[in-house]
Amino acid sequence: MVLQFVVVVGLWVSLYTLNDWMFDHWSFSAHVSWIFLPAALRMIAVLLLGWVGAAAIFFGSLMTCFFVAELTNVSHMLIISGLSALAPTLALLLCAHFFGVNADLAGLSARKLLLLSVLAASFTAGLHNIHFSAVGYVDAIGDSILAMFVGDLVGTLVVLYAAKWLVTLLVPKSA
Amino acid sequence: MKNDVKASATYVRFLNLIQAVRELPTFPSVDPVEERLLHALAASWHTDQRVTVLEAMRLAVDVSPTTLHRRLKSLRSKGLLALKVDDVDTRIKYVVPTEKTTEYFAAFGKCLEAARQT
Repeated sequence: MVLQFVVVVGLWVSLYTLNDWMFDHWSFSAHVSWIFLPAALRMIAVLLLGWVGAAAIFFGSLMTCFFVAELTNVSHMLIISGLSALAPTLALLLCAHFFGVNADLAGLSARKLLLLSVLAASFTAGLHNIHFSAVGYVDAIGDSILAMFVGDLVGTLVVLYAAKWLVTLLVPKSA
Repeated sequence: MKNDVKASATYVRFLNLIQAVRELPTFPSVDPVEERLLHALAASWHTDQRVTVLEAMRLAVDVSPTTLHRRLKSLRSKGLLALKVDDVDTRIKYVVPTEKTTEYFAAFGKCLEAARQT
C-alpha cells in the first residue's frame, strides 16, 4: 500500500513537472492549462487504488503546489489538493451508482471510461473554479472553467490513447 | 495474506481497466487485402449487384478464399461490413455496406477530389 502511494505521488510530481515544462506556453492562467496530463493520473489512481489513490493524489498535489507552483497560502494549497483528489472520486462514485461500474471495475467499458473522463474533468473544473472565484483568483469564471475542463479532458484522452497505443503495440489482441 | 488479496484485487481492476482502454474507439485501420476486398465489393454494390459471402470469398483471384473469409470477418468486426440473410433461403447471406463503409468511401472521394484539384 505504501509502495503504491509513493509510486502515485512520484508519478503525479513527474507528470505535473513535465506538463509544466511541455505546455507552459499553452497555459490559460497560473493554475489552468489547455492540456493537463496529470488529470489522467487522478482518474486512473482512484480507479485502481481507491482511497489510497485519492490520498496519494492529495499528497502529490500538495507537493506540486508547494515546490512547482510555489504557492505559500497553506489553506489554499490544502483546498486545491483536496479538490484534486475529491473530483475524480466523486465522478467514480457517480459512475458506480448510475452506470454499474463495480468495485473491481467489472463492467467498465470504453464508453464508461470516456464518460468517467468527462465527469472527472467537469467536477475538477467546476469545484476548483468555485474555489478560485471565491478567493478572487479568476475574473471570468466561465472562461476558466472551460479552459480547465478542456485541459483535463484533453490531458486524460492523450494519456488514455497513448496507453491504448502502447498496449496494442506490446500485447497483440490475438495473443 | 490480506496484502496478497488487496494486490490481486488491484490487479483485477488493472486488467479490467486495460480491457476498457483497449476498446477505446479509433477510426478502423484497413490492411491492403481488406482494402482490395472493400473496393471489389464497392464495385459490385455500385452496379446494384448483391454479393453473397461465397461470391465475396472469390472476389480476388490471387488471394485464397480462406484469407478473404478472414478479412470479411475482420471488416465486419470493424463495422465496415454487415451480413444480411436472404428473405427466402436463410442459408444465403449477403455482404452489405454499413454507414461506416459509406463514410469510408466518402473520405476516399474527398481525397481524390482534393488531389485532382491540386
